[in-house]
Amino acid sequence: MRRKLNSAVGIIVTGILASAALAQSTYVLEPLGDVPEGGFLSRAFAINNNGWIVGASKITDGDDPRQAAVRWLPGMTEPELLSGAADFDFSRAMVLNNENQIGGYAEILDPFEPPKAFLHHDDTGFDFFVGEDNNPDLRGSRMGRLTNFGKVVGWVLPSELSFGNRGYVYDIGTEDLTILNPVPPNGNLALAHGINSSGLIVGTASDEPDKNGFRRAVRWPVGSTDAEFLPGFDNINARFDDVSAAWVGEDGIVRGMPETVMRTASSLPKTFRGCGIRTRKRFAFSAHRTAWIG
Amino acid sequence: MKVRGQNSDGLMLGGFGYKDGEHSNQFFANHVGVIWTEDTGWIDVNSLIVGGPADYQIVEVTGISDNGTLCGSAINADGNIEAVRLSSACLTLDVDQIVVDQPATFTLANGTPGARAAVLAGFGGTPSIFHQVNGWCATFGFDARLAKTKIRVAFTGIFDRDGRLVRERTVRSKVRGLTIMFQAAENGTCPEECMSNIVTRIAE
Repeated sequence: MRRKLNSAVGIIVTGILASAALAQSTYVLEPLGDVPEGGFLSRAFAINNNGWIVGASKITDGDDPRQAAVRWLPGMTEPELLSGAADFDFSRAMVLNNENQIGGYAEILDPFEPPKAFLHHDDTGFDFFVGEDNNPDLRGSRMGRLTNFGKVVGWVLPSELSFGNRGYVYDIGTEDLTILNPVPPNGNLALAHGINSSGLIVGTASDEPDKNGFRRAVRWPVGSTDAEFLPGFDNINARFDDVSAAWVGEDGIVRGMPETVMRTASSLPKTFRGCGIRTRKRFAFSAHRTAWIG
Repeated sequence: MKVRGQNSDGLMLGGFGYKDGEHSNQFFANHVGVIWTEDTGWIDVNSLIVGGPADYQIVEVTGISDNGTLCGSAINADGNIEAVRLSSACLTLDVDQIVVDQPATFTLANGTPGARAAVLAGFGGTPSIFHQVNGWCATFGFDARLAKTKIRVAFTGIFDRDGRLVRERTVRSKVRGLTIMFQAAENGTCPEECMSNIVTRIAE
């Protein structure tokens, strides 16, 4: 056996994984621990094909809500803080690609300072690629997806808008940032959630002003910055209040989520009543171009 | 149901489910981690756990790698939210506490009777992948290379009629204090992989 494996070393392949493993249906649970000096809370948000996991862990004890972006390398049973994470009140590493690039959001706990999306590098720390130096008009930002081909999509909060996000796509290599608009002419909200290597972007957007809670599954065709409704979704849009396209594959398959927004909050604790908080029922959908199932 | 993650081809989804009246993170403890494939539909992932510590309730599945490893969050025995990794358990590996120069028992289970298995060791680094190599299709979650042409093989053997393989191995004192990772693979499963969980031990 040793001889056989030794002879195989020369053809160790990196980056090729057997998707057939998905057929396996049982698992071994491995706890990933907390930051040792912090509180008892950690969450994992993404894993890549190299076994890296990213997430957040509480960095103080007691009721202090502060969390810091962390990662687990293969074999780690406790998280390690991303370099520079301790400089923020709250940060979460939410996405990760197979190049071990990490993204998320960070903020200083201030009601007038919304969270900002970041890319993290071991050597330089947190890179707030949206806003600040390259686009100071953008107040806040979040990251929806970080691809293996170096594109990031998400959404920003332009400073001139009290509400009403815009989507964006960012190229890590060229550092080009493109803002994505809602459905013209009257839409006032757009969030980009997914992109494939062809440049097709999907997400959710509104087509009328002042209807922030009512969104439709949309796409931004290659080369366009204006959203258009995903074709064939009229029935879904009619049945659900919010419809979000969350992911698009290389073959054009779109996956996402329709929601029913319920107007009553009677099932919520009293402290939530009358606060404008809506409860939501969510359903998963799977769409192949113009059709959907589920 | 809320989707929180998927693998790269979108054929496997993960997320959480909740009941009416439990719609926000205020009720996080009542969420149920779920996974979806077209063949199975939505499944409570808690029902699929065959190894690891008990008393963990998985409340969300947020990430899925292309070899089927999941990550997410659980409520642990102390009632706290804790990140978890869910490794495919084609094989289940258990290793005694490692004390240098003393034998430790390695127990491998759930194998195919009569099939060969190998347990490799490593200290971290990038995964070692074998793709159709002498009957081995395996992705070890650490760098198992000892040098350019050698691999850290803890042991190999044949599964008994119960699908078990038990060996004792002694770790040398020069690795005292180091964190060692172990993982097993079964031969003859190509193109699929049959891997165990990764066991991490600090050599005392």
